[in-house]
Amino acid sequence: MKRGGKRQRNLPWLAALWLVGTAVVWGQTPTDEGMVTMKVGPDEEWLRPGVSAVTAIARDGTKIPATVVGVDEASNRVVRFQRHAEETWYWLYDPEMEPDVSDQELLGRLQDAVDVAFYVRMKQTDTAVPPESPAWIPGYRVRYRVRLIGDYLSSPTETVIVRLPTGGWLKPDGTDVLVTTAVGRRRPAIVLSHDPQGDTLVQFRRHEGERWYWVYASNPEATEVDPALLQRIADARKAAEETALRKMAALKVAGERVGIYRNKALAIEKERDTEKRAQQERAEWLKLLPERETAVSNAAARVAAAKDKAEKTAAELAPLQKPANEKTARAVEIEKQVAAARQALTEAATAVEAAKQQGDQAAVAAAENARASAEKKLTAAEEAAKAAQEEAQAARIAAEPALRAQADAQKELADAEAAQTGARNAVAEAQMRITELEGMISKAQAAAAALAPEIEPLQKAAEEAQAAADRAAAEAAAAEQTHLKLALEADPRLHQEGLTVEFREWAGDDLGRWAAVVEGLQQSSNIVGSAIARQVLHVGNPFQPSSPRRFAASYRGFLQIDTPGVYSFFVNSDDAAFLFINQYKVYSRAGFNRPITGVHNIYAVGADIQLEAGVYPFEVHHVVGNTPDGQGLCALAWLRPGSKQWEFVPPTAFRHAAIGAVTAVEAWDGGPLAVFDYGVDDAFTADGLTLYLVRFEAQHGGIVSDHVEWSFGDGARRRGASATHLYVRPGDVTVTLKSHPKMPAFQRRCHIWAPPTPSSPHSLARAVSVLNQTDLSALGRLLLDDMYHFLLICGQPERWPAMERVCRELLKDAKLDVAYRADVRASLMEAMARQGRGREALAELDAALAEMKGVRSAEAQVLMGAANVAWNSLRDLAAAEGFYARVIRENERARLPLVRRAAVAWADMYLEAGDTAKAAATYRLAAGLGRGGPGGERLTDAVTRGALLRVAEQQLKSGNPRQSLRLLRRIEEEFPEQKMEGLYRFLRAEADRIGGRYDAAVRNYEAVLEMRQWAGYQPAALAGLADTYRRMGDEKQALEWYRRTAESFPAFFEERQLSNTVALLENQLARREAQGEGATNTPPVWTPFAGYMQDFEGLAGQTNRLGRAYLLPAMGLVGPHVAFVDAQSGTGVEWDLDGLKLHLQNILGGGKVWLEFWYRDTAGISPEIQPRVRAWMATLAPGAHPNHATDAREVRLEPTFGRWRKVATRLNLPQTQDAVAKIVLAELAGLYEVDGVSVRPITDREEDAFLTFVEGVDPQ
Amino acid sequence: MRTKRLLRAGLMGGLVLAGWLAEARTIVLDARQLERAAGLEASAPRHGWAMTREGTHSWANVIHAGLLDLTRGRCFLFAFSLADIPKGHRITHAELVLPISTWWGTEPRFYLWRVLAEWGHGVCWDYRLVGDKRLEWTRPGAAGMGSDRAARPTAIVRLTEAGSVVINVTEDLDLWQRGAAAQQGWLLSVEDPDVTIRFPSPLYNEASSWKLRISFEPEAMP
Amino acid sequence: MMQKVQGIGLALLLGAAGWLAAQEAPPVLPKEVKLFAATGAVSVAVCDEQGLLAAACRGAVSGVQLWKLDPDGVPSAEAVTLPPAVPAGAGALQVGPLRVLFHPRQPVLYVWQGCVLPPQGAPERQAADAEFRCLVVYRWTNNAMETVGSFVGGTHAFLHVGAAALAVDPEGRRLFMAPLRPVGATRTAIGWLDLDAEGLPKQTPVLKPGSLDNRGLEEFEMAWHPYRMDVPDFGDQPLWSLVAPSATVLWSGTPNGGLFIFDTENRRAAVAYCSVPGIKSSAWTMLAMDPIRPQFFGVGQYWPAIFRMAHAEGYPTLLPETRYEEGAACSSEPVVMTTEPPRVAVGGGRSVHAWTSDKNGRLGGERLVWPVPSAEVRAMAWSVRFKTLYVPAEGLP
Repeated sequence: MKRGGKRQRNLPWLAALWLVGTAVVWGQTPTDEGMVTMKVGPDEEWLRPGVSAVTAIARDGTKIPATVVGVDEASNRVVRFQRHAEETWYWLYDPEMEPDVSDQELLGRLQDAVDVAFYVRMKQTDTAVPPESPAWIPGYRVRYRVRLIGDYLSSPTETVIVRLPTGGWLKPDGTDVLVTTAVGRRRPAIVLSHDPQGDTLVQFRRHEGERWYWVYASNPEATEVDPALLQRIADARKAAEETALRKMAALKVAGERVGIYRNKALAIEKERDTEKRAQQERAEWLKLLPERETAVSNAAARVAAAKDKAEKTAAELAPLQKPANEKTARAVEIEKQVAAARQALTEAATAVEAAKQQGDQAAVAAAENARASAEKKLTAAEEAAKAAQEEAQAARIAAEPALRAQADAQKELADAEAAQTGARNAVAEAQMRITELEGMISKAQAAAAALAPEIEPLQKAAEEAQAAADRAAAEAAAAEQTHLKLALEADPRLHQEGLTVEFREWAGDDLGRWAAVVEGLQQSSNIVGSAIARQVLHVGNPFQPSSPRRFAASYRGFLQIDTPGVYSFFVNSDDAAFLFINQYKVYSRAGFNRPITGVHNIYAVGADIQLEAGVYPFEVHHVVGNTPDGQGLCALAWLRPGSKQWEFVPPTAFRHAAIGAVTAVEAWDGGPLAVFDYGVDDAFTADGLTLYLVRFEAQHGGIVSDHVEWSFGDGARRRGASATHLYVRPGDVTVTLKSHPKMPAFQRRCHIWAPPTPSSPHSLARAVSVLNQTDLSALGRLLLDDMYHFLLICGQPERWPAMERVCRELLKDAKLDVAYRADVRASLMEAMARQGRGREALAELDAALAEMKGVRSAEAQVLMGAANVAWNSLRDLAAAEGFYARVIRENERARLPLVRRAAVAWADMYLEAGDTAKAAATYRLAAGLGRGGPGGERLTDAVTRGALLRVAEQQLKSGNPRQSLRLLRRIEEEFPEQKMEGLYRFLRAEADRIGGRYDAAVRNYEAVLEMRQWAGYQPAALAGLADTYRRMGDEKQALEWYRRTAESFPAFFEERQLSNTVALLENQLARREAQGEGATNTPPVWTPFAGYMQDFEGLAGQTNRLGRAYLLPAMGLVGPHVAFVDAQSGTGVEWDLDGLKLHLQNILGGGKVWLEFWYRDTAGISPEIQPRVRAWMATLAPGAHPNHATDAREVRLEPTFGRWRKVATRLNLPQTQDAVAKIVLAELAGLYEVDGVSVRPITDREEDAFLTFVEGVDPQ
Repeated sequence: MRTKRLLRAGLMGGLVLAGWLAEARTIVLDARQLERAAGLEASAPRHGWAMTREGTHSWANVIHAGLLDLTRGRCFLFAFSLADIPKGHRITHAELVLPISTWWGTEPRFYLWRVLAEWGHGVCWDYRLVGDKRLEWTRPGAAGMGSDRAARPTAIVRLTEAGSVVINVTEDLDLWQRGAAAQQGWLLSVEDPDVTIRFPSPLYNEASSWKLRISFEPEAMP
Repeated sequence: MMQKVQGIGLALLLGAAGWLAAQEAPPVLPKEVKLFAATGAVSVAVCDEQGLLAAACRGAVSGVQLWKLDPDGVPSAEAVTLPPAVPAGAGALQVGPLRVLFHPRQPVLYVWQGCVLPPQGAPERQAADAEFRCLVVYRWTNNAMETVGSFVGGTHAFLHVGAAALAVDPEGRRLFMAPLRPVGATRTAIGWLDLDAEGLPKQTPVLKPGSLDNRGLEEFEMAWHPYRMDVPDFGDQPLWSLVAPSATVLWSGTPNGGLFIFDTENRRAAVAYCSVPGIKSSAWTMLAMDPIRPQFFGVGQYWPAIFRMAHAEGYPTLLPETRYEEGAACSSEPVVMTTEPPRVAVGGGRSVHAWTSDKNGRLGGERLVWPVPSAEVRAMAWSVRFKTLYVPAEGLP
């Protein structure tokens, strides 16, 4: 079958085609020498009639001619062709049909089974019949028949591990176990883990290709193996262990020495590296230096040139410069004289002024004369100055070009010098840098030199250590060899195969150090469970899932190291975890810890050790203390040499043993001996009360007689091969099964918990039937309370006998609370009335009232119970009226809420009796009584009432009738008189139809049809009536009502597309009548689809058709056969159990079915790969494509460590008459057992009762 | 016809008796008259006063006495002392008024149960101390219906707006006053997964808002 | 006949005198309160078996003072000062006692001492860090206190804190101490040392780093190594009040008016934080356990309120009760007086306040105030044997 569009990874084998009836051969031993026979179904169009030659193509592409040799009785065409080498997968096709197809395309098809062609898988035909049993060995009382499972022939394992259900039959230390082959040859065996209240893991050596073995057990006087041999073996083992320890210590030392040497070498390398870099830099500088020197010399030359140019220009300038300067000096000089003259003039002027002031004419004149001569001197001086100025100017101009040249020369000289200094600096810098680098080089060399001597001894030490390690390894190998040769016969564990885990309850209190943990482990004697594992990985305690605390898990196995190198190991865990390899502690994490999460430095968490290639025995001990928020995680991870990524140690890194399965158990005297296994069937919770349904299956390898006796650990007892029991408390119980008169009862500790699987609607009915068969007197008071509460709300029609017995038990308790006693009395009366003993119930009324100690509310409760009985079962209106009136009269003065409920019930009775007038009056009375209920006053006005009604109608339209029913009940309580309206009756009818209360629905629909004023609802009422009869299975009535709907409301009929429902009904009616006439005198065989059960009984005999699954008589949970699915060698393999394709005839279109099956992982699942189950529903209508699924669900398979666990899901049925349900197990890795596949329809009543139960007394 | 007569008689009886009500009395008790009160919490199983709220301190539970956060995994037990009701009287009506400050969750509702098992000093989630004997609850958190608490809740109260809620508890008071059941008070619980209802704590200054109104009349009345 | 008359007469006279005296003289302390001279007493403890009274005094003369009590509980006139344990290399280290506590049954005295650390670089500092020990244990043998030893120093304790707390569970199996230096974290820690039959600390196995035996398993050595639990969320502030109702439950007051409840058996961590309404959220809580009834009392430092909580085996139960009284700011841990009716005494600055409780132990009665000549009453102790409350006072005549 094609799985959706996704193309699987390169799967070595592929999903089997969905056609049944093909001879499928797999493995090495084909049916007859070299030839493959194969049948092609009649409806395979690709093989045209008359064609005799086709071609088979193998996986490697070789083509083999195949001939159609004939047709068998089932008109299948038989094709035969020569087998090609060991090939197991072939592809058949007709070359004429597809002349131009390429090999590539063909191989592609082989990988992806496309529908047109047909292919064959060759698989080993597994004959389930064991060879003849050996003679019984005296002294042993029990014998288990064990068969190897899986691809045991090709796997290189030497030993087998099997889980024996011993249940307390062995000696306390569980050593009385003996294994023989079919011919009685004894095989060395050893007990790996023994749980006196559960299973025992035994490992024994295989004998060549033998598949069947017999394990004898339960022999109080079992004789020990020869003690001298044991002693020699013990000594050899101790020597081997010591040498191994020395080897490990040496390896640890070697690892450390190499570490230190590595670090030191690293240091030296760093020094060398700096030296190298310094050298390089120095070389570059040296390269630069000559350039810089030339630059200096150039600069020097340039300076010299500039210098003599400057001299030259200076020389030219000198002759011109001197006169210019002189002239300029003179000009300055004259300028000074002019200034002096000007000064004299001003003095003279002032003298004149002074004389004028003194009025001395003579002085004035003299002063005047002086002033005039000063004036004359001034003008002369000025002219001279001007002339001198001009001469100086001319001289300067003449000197100008020379001056400029000289200035340029100077500048040129200055630049040259600057360039020279720059060049010289550059040179100096280069030299300084070079010297600096040389310094660094020498320092680095010195340091390297200083370290060098140290490296020598370290390297030598590392080599010595490694040499010592090699010597120790050689020594250890030699000691191991001597021990192995000696001990090979006695101890199969020396073949170093198998990974097992054992869980104990932790009785210690200190996790601080290994010594304290060892003390704790010695005290923790209570083994909780043991299993074969594929990886060291678990979350929580799989054997006590409800308490993930205070447990210790010990893994023992063998690590296969292929690439030698330094490995880092790390056990991520809650609280303490220790890893020992070869009894040497490699990793430890003591004390209270949380698992390490988040990003860390890759080397920060692990512990390193150097390992060479080989097999190492290892142990992982994980202990979770009383840490309140511990999840109980433990995961062994490693960092392979050279890798940068932590990963879980994969299953391929461990050495696994072959797996054995117990297929039968026999007693020494041939008496009826049986063991049992269990699985939690369902757990459902309501109002804080959780009930657990647990299935127990007695197993013998054949049919178990019915007189075996169970005791369920809580006082209840039962007979019968398989039993289902109801528990109320989670936790451990010890269940025993007595089957053989002279053997002690088989006992097993069963853990009761609520698995995460969804609850099944059928569980309520099963729980009630279990209750009906349980002897209640043995149950304690607590269980009675819970049983009473369960029966009150489970809504199952068959609950009344159990209810009566529970009520009688409860009433025996004198200290029962008065209100509780009143409830129980009322329930007792209803239970007796429902069983037709209404009169008898009412006779006990007076006794009941006397017990109420005059408490009026309790009396009212009992009286209402009596009224209910009087009317519902005895139809005695007068008596019921009397009771109701008495309740109301006695409680007039107190506003009890109970009084209001009584009045409403009274009015309901009148309504049912048809007296609508009285009903209306009583409803009005009820509205006024018992006011003041919780938040009662606020909902009085009509608006709120109308709103509630509209919401109820809206809920119904949007497809959830349950919410609308709840709203209607609230309306009843708040506004009793509301019940008279048409809309209300229509809504009640719809809710009752969908809730499976078909008669109430019919009554309400007819009431609506009679109410003329509510004509608007008539078409919907007619359609509702028709659908109700369809659901009841009465096609004639349904068709009649549909016809009436079509006639009176054709538009409505079209709009609701009722035509195809009518067509479906007509087919169903036709098929029913056809079956009716076809059969001769036998009654009509018409069986509406009741459900399909596949515990593989039917398939056991035939060549199996389940892909790589084997059908075997074994210790399943349903019937004597189990399907083993072997995906041990693959990783993430997809198994298509086409045997689990279940045809469902005559289904109720659009309904729902409940699909469930049991599974367990016999040899461990590696959760890393996330195995999953896909369940599909497809129609079988003609023309519909077989692969198109109308509904598909996917469920994850959790690791169960050998415990049975249930997978369950709902599937919607298509709108057709027949359908097929199919199950595919995807992404498997490991060995699984699958049993008890069942598909059952869910009726409306069951669904409604279950939802009401889950929603509790007062649903949200 | 008979029922009409009965109805009329009932109504008439009510009117006639009105006159007699003079001696009937109503008393109001509040949190100060609380005889015992305890807050139990699954995650602090040994504490008797542990209406915890998820405090900011992740390492431990915060026992906050100022507010009661009622949610799943917690329940609040409280018992008034009924000494003030004189002997020889019968209860006609009793109302419990509980103050609600706020709530979280859709369609919030809480349950009021009558407690059957004896409890007192040393009560906690796992067990209750009677004298110095340690008696387990039938189910932790006083959840055993019919043994720890009544078989049916006294009331299931749906909250529509903040403020106080009035609950008709006449039947329970009648039981206690008549001595038919030992007075062990009531228990508040929330059963829906994501609903939390916050009550002001009776210890703090809201003590007066927890009220029990009881009206009673002499037994002799017809 | 005559003697009887005289007897009566004498009684009258005395009665009158007493009556007279009461009128004018300041109210005389009740007979169950005895003052004793001790300046700067921060912690007081009384040992009923041997009749001893110890006080940790800081200030002018700082050290542990010890008084012998005569048969009717009167402390001896002179006090003996116990020698503090100072490491040799640390030179003149200023050492001061912070807390004194007697073992409930054995005549063993535990003292927690702090010191003023010399500056960082000084040679004594290095010696002090390495060798100074905070816990000093004395035992009363042949009429004198003899030093048994000093423990818990170095990396385990804060050496320079201003306050510390000690507590022993009623059966004397564990000595709880705070504040200790936490393992790695930056906050304070609380720890304990198990005590042997004689009340002396027991050693526990401690990992010897780097030591691997031939199976790769580390080796352990015995050392006085207190088991430490982190105190969440209050930074490195010292916790002032520890009470151990049993060997597996421990209460500690917090700096924000609440209390921690530690489970020292399974979780070995704080399991609950209790905030008490009515106590200011910035006051230190100081606690005391009622030796007879299953209840405990607490006050907020310098906050005029006291609360009472019932407990069952150390876990709080039922309704707590708070009393707020203006003017009663508390300056010491409460002390439960097993008188009739029972009282709770708390130091309040220059006086002692005593709340009386009614017959079922609630804080119903009135509050008495006894003035005490002391700058601030910071500690008191009640002797169940002598039915006496010993209050340290300064400047007695």
